[in-house]
Formats: sequence, structure tokens, C-alpha cells
Amino acid sequence: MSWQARRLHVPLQLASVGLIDSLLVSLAGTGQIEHVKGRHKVVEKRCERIGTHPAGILFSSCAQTSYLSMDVHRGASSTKHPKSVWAIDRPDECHTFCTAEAGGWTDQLGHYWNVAREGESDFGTRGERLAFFSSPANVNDPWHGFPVGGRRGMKFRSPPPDDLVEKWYKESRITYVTYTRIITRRV
Amino acid sequence: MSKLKSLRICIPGEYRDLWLYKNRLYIWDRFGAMRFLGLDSAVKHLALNYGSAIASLAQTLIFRNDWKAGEQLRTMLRVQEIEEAFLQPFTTHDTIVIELPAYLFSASESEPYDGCVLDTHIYADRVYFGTPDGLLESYINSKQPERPYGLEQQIDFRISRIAVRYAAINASAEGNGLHFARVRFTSPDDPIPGFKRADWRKIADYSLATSHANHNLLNYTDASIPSLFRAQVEEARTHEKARYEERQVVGYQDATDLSSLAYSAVTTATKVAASSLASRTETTGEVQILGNSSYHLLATWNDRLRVIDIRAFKGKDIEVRPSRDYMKASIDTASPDKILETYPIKGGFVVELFDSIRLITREGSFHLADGQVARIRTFTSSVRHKEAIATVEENSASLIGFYIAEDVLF
Repeated sequence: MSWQARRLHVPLQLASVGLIDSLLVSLAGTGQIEHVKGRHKVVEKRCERIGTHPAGILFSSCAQTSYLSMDVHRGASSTKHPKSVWAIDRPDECHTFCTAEAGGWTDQLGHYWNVAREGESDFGTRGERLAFFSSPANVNDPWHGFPVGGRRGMKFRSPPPDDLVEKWYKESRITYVTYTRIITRRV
Repeated sequence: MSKLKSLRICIPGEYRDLWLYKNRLYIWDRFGAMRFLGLDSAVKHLALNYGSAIASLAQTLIFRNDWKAGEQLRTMLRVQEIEEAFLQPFTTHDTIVIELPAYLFSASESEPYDGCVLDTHIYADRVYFGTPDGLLESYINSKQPERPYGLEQQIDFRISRIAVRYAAINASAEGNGLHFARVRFTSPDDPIPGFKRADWRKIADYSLATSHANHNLLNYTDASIPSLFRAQVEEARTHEKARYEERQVVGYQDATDLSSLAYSAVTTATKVAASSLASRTETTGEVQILGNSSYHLLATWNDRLRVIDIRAFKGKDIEVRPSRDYMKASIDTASPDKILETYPIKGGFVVELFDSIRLITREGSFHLADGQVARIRTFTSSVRHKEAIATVEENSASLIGFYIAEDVLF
């Protein structure tokens, strides 16, 4: 919604108060959200390792989506281009995908994003607190993802879209401080 | 050894931004409504509630940094007994936190911007907001701050950072480039004094942030070293009734790539001029410029921080050299990887880490405050608040002033 259009509406913050509860109820209907703790939705860790793959380890996500934890994002790779490296273990990497999937945290191209909450450790080894999950080109291909940051100077800079960051804030996934830091490209 | 003492004035509430300007504190809530408080009233409140010693510290360390920098006060504070009396409130703690209640502030009826503001700047009574909706401009009437003004659109695409000084507005729009316009001044008698649509010119194709280095402009991109735009400066009056001419930036020359110069300056101990440099000096490790405080550039190389100075005077070659000002003490803080952003103050840098704020000056590197902040503001272009630091936290806003106590008297 544009700034001029918002002139005619109630402030976003006020409008979103009732929205969060109804959103959580609707997500809970998918069976992905096990319980709601306070204003935060908590997704139970139900990623299952289902096998190996030439490029890594295959998991089945909480929503039974195929997810590939890629070896190239697990340590200094020998590929031509350096890759960002997860600082969390493989099941937690898949769970990060699960949470993004359950939250419906997609951009316009259908890629999923996630953000580390206050108190959670960094997703990546270079202080990345965001994760990006690339939508597979082929529907039968597994999803895969890697840690990213939006900060200037970061090796793997890729800021998430503003409306998604706003959604995280409205859903109380992140605090105002984190919201502002992401949107001003400091995290 | 130097020791940092800090005074923090906390304003409870949920805020978006704050700014010190013309003897007032302006503060915006998260719906964009602006409130203001005269600094004289603030000092009076602090004197009544915390005593004259604290009020005097607040005045000197935050509201009147020109007094702090003045030769008279500095000379007096060299007398140990006077310095001890001045710093008496710090006897038991190096940090003092006091409160300024929100009810002291008066409301302004100016049109609010209720969306997310990425950057704010006040210059010549004009308020600029960098937002996802573009660059917006409003106005502050310094004589009647309660008087309402509208919000007008200068640019209609996402503006992430603004640098306004020397009558020049510079706006970073990431993939939409770096944009420059001269501030269009109007007569004070103009019925609508603030808004005049500026004549915008795109001067770079990509810009994540921009900052002044004296009159010149640095453009930060995904590259590790910013490029430099040398300013074209003219003496001009801001309006027909102005008594004096001011140095105004009227344009910029094409950008200069500073990579080779910065590499050479970081890795050698000597001055390097652009004309004397054939190619980039071979180094191990990457040099990155984290930010600048005017012509001082904070650089990282092999996990160590260094400050290099850049000079680009009119008609002379661009020169870069290790800063002499920052050679006396160690300025290393945490790992440079952990630095989220840097902000300029007079004589140093404020360094934002994930859950704390540090200060780098020629005296060394100091811990300034704990906690995560949504925003940090500094005011290097003001006369009175060159060393003041404003922060926005989750449930408060703060003004921070500091004093570096030296062991050496003379």
C-alpha cells in the first residue's frame, strides 16, 4: 500500500493487532503449527532425514516437502564461487526451512526466507541472520537454502523484500529493533 | 590511560527516530507523529529532578558540545580540582542514566508518514525522510515548531540513505542509483517556505549509502571501497535576504575509484597521491572501508582496524594516507565482521555492534553502551551537537554524551 493510500487508512500497527491471531488460527489449520506460545507460533521440529544425495543430505520437511541440505554450504567449498556456510547443524537447517514454509514467508518469486529470532544464534558463519531458500526450477527437485545477510560489506549480501520484513514484525517474529535493522540493511 | 564516562538521557516510549536541531529535540513515534521539546526546558527539568551537577553535564556533553570543545572550558578542566568537581556525579559509576519523561514534549500537527522510515535528515528547516515510498520532504518552522506542514514527495522510489549538507541533497536508492539535487531555498516571507521540487540528477547507477568527506561525496556500493565524487563548490546566498554567502555544492565531477589509493594507504605508512600510483599495491587480505567521519575513513585489513585520511582539495591531486590522529592508541574493537554500521562524530566514530555500541576516537576504543538499537543518529553538521549520540531502542529513545578523562594533565 502506498504512502498516499495509507493516508486514508488506520495506522498499520493498529490494523494488525487482530490480524495476528486470525493468521495463527489459519496456519494452525494446516497441521504445521503445533502450538502457539504467547504471540509466537512454534513449529515442532519434525524434519526427517530420508537419504543421501550426490550434493548433500535429503530431508523431508514438516510439510513433507523434499529439502536438500547441500554440502557446498557446509564448509569451504571447492567450487569456483565461494558459498555462504551454515553455522547450524543440518536438521536445524531443515527446520529453518520448515518454519519459513509454515509461515508462508515467500517473496514475489516464490522463494522462502527466514530470520533468526532474538536470542537465536546466527544462521551463517559470517554473522548472517537471514536464510534464503531458492524455489526449485523443477517441481520434482528438492528445495535448498543458504544463509544470507543484508548488510553492506557482507560477502553474500541479499536483503529480503520490505513487505516480508514487515510481515515478520507484524507476526511478532522479530522485534522493532530487528525490523529496523533489516530494513535499513544493517543485518 | 584514558577512561570514558557517559551520560545517557532516556526517554521512555516507542519511537522511530529523533533529531537535535536549533535548540530543540524532535522525536517521532512509530506512526510518524512528531513531538518536540526545547533543550532549555530539558535542562531545567534535569536540574530540578537530578541537581545542577547532572544538568550541567547534560548541557555540556549533549546539548552544547561547542562549550565542551571550547578552549575556556578545556583550560579550566585541566585544573584537577575543577575537573573533579565537574565529574563529581561520576564518582561511583562511569555511566549515569537519567530520564526525561515523554509528557514534557509538545505535539506537532505536521502530516505524519506512517510507514517505515529508512533515514531522516533535517537541514535548513527542511525535514527529509528516506522511505520505501521515496524521498519525502516536510518543514519545521523554527520559530513556531507547533505549526503544521504537509508532506511532499521529492522522489518516488525507495530511498535508503540521505546525506544533506552544503545546500546539496544526496539520496542513495540502491539499484536506482545515487541522486543529487541542490536545495531550492525560498524567502522566509514565502507563504509556503519549505517545499520546492528539486532538480534531480542521477550521478551513479548504484548506491547503498552516501556520506560527505568535507564537501566531497563518498558513494558506498557492494564494492569494498567507496568511490569519491569531487564537489564543485560556489559561494552563494541561500535567499535574497541572506546576509552572507555560503559555500554550496552545485555539482560533482565524475567518480574516482579509490581502491588503489586505499590499498596503498592501508598497507604503507606514507602518503599516496593518485598521480604517483601506477597500479594497486599487492597485498594479502582484502581492505574494506566500513565508513567515514568526514575525511577520516575507517578501514579494516587482516581483521585490524585502521583510519586513513583522504584529501581532495580543489585543483590538487587526491591524496590518501594513514591518519596521524589515530596512531597514538589502539582502535581495535571487536572483529570487524561484527560491525553493523559506523556513524561519524567530531573526532571519531560511533561503531554499532550487534548488542553494544563502541566509540573510536584518537584516544582509543571505548565501550559506550550495551543493548541493541533500532537506530543511531549523530549530528556532525550541527554546531552544538557534534559529539552527541541519539539512539532508538525497543521501548525508549536516548541521548548519549561522553567525556574522556585523561590521566595526563598537560
